[in-house]
Amino acid sequence: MFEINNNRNVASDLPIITNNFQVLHFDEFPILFIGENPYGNKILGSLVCEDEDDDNLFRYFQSIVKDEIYFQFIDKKISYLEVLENSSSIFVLDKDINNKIIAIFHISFSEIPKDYLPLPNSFCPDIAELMSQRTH
Amino acid sequence: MTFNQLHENTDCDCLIKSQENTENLFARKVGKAKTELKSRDFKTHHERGITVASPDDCSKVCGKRGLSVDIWNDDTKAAILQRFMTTFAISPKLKNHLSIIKFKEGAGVVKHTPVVEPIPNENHYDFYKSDEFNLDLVELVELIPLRQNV
Repeated sequence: MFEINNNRNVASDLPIITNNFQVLHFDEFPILFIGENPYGNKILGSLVCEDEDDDNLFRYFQSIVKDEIYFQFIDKKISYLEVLENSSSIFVLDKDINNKIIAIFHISFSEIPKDYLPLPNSFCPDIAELMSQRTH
Repeated sequence: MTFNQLHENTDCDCLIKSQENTENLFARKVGKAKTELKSRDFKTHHERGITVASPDDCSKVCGKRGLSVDIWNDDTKAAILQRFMTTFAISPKLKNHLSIIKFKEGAGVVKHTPVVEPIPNENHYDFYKSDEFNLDLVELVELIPLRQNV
C-alpha cells in the first residue's frame, strides 16, 4: 500500500459503481472492470493491490471516463495507463473483501507511485461482449 | 483425509467430482518475492471472511472455500502466463509472482472448475485443503517473477 495524504480523503459517491457493473479481466478477483455511478458516468476501475499485512484490505483505482476515452480504451487505441494519465478524476478506494468501502481518496495521477502504475501495455483484454459496444 | 473445516456451516458437499492429485503441477499466484511459500497466499476467500450472497448456491459456496489453481503443463503454460501477464500489466503490485507447485499426499483434493467468463479458462481447478493441510504438504517446484516476462 502507498501512503495517501489524509487531506485527499473525500466523502463522495462519484466513483461508486451502482449500475451496469461488468468485469473486463478476472484473476481470482475482478482486476479490471467498468460500470456507472449514480449519475450515469462511466467508471473504469482496477484492483491495485492487497495489503500485505491485512488480509482484508484491498485498494482500487476508480476513475470517471468520458465515453470517447472509454471507446478508445476498449478499441485498444489507448492503454489503461493512458486513461489514468489523462483523467482528472482518479479516486482511490480502500475496501474490504466484501466490497465494503473503508475510505475514498481523490488524487492526481502524479501522486501515484510509479511502481503502482499500470504498464504501457495495459490494453483492454478481448471480450466478446465488448465488441458489440465498439464504435466501428 | 478429513474435510470438516471445509464443510463447516454449510450443507454443500464440495468434494463431489474432486480427487487427490499428487502427479500434476499447478500454478498459483503469490505475493512478494521470496524463496518459500507463505500461508497468506494459501488462505481461501472463505477464510479471509468473504460472505456469499446466496448460501444455497453450492458452486459459489464451494468456490469461495477452495483455492484457485491452474493445471500447469506444456499445453497450458502459455495461456496461463498470458492471463497473469494481463493482470500484471494492469496491476503490477498485485501478487506478482507465479508459484508452480505440486500437492503432496494428504494436502487435499482438486476439482476441475473451468471459468466461463469474462474470458474462458479451461485450466482452472479448485483446490480444497484437508483438515491436515499445511505448507509442508505443498512442494514448491518453481517461483516465476512475472516482471521477467514483460
